[in-house]
Amino acid sequence: MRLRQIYNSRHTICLASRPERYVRTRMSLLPIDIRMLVVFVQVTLSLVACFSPTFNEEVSLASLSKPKLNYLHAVSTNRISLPTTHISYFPVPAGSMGGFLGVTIKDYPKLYYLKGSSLKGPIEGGEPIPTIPGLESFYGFVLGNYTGQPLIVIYFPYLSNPSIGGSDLLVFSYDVASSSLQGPTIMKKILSDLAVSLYFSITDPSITANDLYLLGLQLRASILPTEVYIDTFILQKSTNRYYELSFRMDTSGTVSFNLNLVANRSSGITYLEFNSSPFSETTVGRYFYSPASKKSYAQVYQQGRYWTFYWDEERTLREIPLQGKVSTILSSGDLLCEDGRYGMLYSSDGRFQYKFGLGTLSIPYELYLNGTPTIVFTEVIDQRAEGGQLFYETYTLPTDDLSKLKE
Amino acid sequence: MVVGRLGMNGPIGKTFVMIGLLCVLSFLPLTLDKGWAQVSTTETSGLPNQEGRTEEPSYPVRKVMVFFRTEGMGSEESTIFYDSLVIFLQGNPYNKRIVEGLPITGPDSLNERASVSFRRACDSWFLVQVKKQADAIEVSYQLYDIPYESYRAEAKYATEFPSARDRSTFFWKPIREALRELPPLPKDPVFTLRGIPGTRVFGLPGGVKELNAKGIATFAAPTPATYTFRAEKLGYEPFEQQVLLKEKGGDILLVQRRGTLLNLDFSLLNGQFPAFYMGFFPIPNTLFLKLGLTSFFSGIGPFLANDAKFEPFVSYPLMTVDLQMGGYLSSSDATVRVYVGAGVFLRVFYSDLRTMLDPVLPFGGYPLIGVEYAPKRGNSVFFEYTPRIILLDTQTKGSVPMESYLQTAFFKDSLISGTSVEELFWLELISFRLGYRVRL
Repeated sequence: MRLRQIYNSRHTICLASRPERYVRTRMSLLPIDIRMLVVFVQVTLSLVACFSPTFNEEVSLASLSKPKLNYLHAVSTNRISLPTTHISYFPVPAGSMGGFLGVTIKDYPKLYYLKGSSLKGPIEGGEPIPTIPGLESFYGFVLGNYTGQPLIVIYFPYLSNPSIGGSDLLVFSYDVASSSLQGPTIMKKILSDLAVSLYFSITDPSITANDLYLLGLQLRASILPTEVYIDTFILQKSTNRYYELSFRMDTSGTVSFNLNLVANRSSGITYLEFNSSPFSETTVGRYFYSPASKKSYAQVYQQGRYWTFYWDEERTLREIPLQGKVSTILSSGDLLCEDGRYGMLYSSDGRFQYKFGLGTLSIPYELYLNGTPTIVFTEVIDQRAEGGQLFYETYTLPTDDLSKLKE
Repeated sequence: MVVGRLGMNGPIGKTFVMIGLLCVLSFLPLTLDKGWAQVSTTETSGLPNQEGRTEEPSYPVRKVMVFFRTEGMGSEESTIFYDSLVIFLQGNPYNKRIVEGLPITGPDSLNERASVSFRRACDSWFLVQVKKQADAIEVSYQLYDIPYESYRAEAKYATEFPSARDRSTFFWKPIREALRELPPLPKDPVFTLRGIPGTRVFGLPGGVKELNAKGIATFAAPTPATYTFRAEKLGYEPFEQQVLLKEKGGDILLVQRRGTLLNLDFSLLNGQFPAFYMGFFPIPNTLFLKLGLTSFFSGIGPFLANDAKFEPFVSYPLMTVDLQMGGYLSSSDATVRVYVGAGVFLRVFYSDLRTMLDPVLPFGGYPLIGVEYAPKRGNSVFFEYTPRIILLDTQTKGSVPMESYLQTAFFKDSLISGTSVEELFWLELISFRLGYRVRL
């Protein structure tokens, strides 16, 4: 029996030495487990949380609308030092005319003119312009001969109160021939120079500017490019009466009284009285008037959002649940609003109509171009952080074609 | 072709280069780890096994060790007799190999003689004793068969003293004829492998076996012995098995499990955005088709790249739908598996307006190379590199160059991972998935 065991064990050993066999082979440099661990730790620690996806919602939304707009021109700031915020661009809607660039630097306004990659200016404002949460520091509107001497009217809401003083309506011009930015060519105080001098001094001389408070102002396009309407919403503090007075200013700076909008809606009545009003002499709001619907709108920014009210010939103040901020009241009477990345169109009585993508686009104003109401769009491309320039591209769209943007 | 700048800041760029280099160096040797490698195939055991043919058993040659003792002879005479005996036996016609005893006289005990024989790979022994008496001589011999534990021949004869011629012609003939009594060793028994047709079996005597169309392959193997073999079949889990083969032949049933048909990936794109993929294997374990969703609704923000605006979590109204096809280059039971393939994807933008394809970069494709690590041959962690080429919708082009326009838009708060190519495509070089893969 022992012999058999010896034989068997010997035989098995012989098998192991056969020339054809399979064995496990491994790299001996470093165990694979350790190599994998090292790689994973390296990758995880070094790459994770470093990248954004190649996606930008605003760019995608803008690219939905841009192909449907008419490209007008582009300008760049040619590497000047500008603040990263509080920059407003007011394009001149003609050829390669560029536009005005309003900048607030350390609370002081500066105005440049951008044409191509050239930059003219700045012309500095003389008064501090504090930022008002939820509301722009200033509003601008272009008029005049767009290809020869475009003008810009700038309204500073914060300067409208007499207690602060200063001119709250300024006009600057850009002379194409001399490539020079000029102004302010006109400086006005809304309440004293327009409301009192052109209206109350005739209708009720007892009313002084100190008794008035400018709740809001709208710069509205005229079908004539040489003039602009200045619609005001004024509170008479002593009587809590609200006036809506419209003025007209031409390119020479001549301002004339246009209409008492209240009387225009309801003959014989020159002012409004609201039983319960969100407006007071401390309210800083925005005001719009639509000659098409003869409705007026006011927006106030409270509790982190815009509250919108409107009234008409019934003179009853109604709140309408608009989403976002009113950009402009279109010549059609519809309300064009912006809410973050989207534009929304509401009917004159506040009914939602449709939404469209804006993204990086913004809507500074509606103008009449060759007699056609046209919405102006701008897109800002800020590459200064990467050592590049600040670009503004301008697009236009006839107001009647706005529904093309509807998705 | 103009390829735009792939922006990497100095130190960070160097870091990435080092990481990439280390990754390449780490992965490079993986392909060398083949698991079962054939060391030598230059010789075989003489047991051909082609499909459909039954393995023929072999007859090992018997080896006989010859021990020799004398009485009444001097050492020189004894050597002469021994040499003539060995020479005469080596000329036997019975296919028996003769090995000289070492020592020639051999041990005294039976077991020790067997042991000495084994050490020289002999399976039997002769003990020949010659006694010289005057002019006569007496010869006795024993032939022992070790495996059968029995004496095959045992005899004694006496003659007159032989001359040299006698020693080379007939004197040793009775002993040589006794070799006829030594039967062949038992044949190697034949075993039958039964399994999935086409299965290849490594590690058994006779070389690689491949199961025929009936799922059968045979092989002969010396027994009793323990063998470890490995069975591989495309679409089935490879396995290694140790078997104890006894003297009699028999069947070896290969219990083969079908390979993975489905798997699930739970991963993070670029280590930031959750992705879920489901894979289907038309060829189990090997060829896969995958459908994946990557949501950007909630992800880890690029806080390492932008300390000033620390945002641990970010959200984008974007989702990608991926379709991948690829195959594994490594065996399914390897600890580290490498796979390659290609994929296409759609970028779905769910805006407040409607759900749509991203109007800027709507869809694209990518090659993929991945490596997964499964220490227990089951679920695994994986790293998959997918450099993406995304179609750039030309309608978005404005007056500003798209490359700088999109780089500005995409990478305000993070490192730049891509660039435009000729304003036709967007090339995203940094694109990878890290995750956990579950085999179903």
